[in-house]
Amino acid sequence: MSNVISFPALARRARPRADRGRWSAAELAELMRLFGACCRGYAGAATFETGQTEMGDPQFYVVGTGPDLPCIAFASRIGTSGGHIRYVVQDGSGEVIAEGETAAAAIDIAVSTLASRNRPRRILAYLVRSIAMLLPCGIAREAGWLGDFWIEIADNPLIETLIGYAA
Amino acid sequence: MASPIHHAQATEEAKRLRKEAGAWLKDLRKSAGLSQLDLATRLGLKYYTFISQIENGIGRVPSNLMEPWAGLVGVTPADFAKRLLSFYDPQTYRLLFDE
Repeated sequence: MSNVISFPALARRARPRADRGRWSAAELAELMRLFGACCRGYAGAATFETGQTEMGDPQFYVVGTGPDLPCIAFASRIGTSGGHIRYVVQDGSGEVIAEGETAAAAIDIAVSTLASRNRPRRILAYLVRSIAMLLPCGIAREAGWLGDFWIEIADNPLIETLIGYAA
Repeated sequence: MASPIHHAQATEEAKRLRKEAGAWLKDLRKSAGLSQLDLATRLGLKYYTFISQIENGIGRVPSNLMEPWAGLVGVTPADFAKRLLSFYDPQTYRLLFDE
C-alpha cells in the first residue's frame, strides 16, 4: 500500500479559474485602468458596458456617449471555454492594440499605446488653447493698448510667437 | 442647438438601432451556418472578438468589410449596406430611400 497521496483535483481547484463569461474583481480593476486611459484621450464623456461572445468569453467595451456612439476600445478574455487564456485589447475598428497572457500585461501595453496615440492631439489642443488665451493680447498689441506692459512680456520668444499666431 | 433632453433621446435611439443591427447580423450569420469564429477567419480577422463586439450592438461594420461580409452571409452587398445604413444613419437612409 502506498502512503503517497496525490491531490490533483484539489490542486486544480486551488488555482484561480477564469469564470466563463464573467470578469473577476481583479480583472475589473485592470479594466478600469483601460477605461481611465480611454477617457483621458477622448474629448467627450465615455461609459462602459460588458458583454460576452457566443463562446462565453467576456468582453468589456468603452463607448463614447456622442450621437455616433463610438466604441473607443474593448477588451476580451479569449479561451475561457478551454485552452489557452489570452487577453486582447482592440480599438473600435477592431485593430489589435495589445495582447497578453494576463489582464495586467495586456492593459499596460494598451494604456501606453493609447497615450502615445493621444499625444499629438494633446499638443495641438494645448497650442489652440494658448493661442486663444493670448488672442486678446494680440489684438491689444495691434491696437497699441499695451504700452510698457507689452515690453516686459514680449521678451519671451514663445509668447512672441504665440501672439504672432493669434494676431 | 439640440437640447440635452433631445440629445439623450437621440443617443438612446441610436443605441437601440445599434442593438437591432447587431441582432440582424447575428441572425444572418446563423442562417448561413457560421460561427463568430468562422466568420472572422473568413474575413481575415485575427480575433473573432470584433464580430462579437458588432453583434452585441457596440460597434459598426466597417465599410471595407461590408462586401465580403455580405457575400459570406448570402446577401447582396447593396442590400447589406442599405440595411446597415438604416440602422447606423437613419436620417441619411430616410433622405435617400424613403418614398
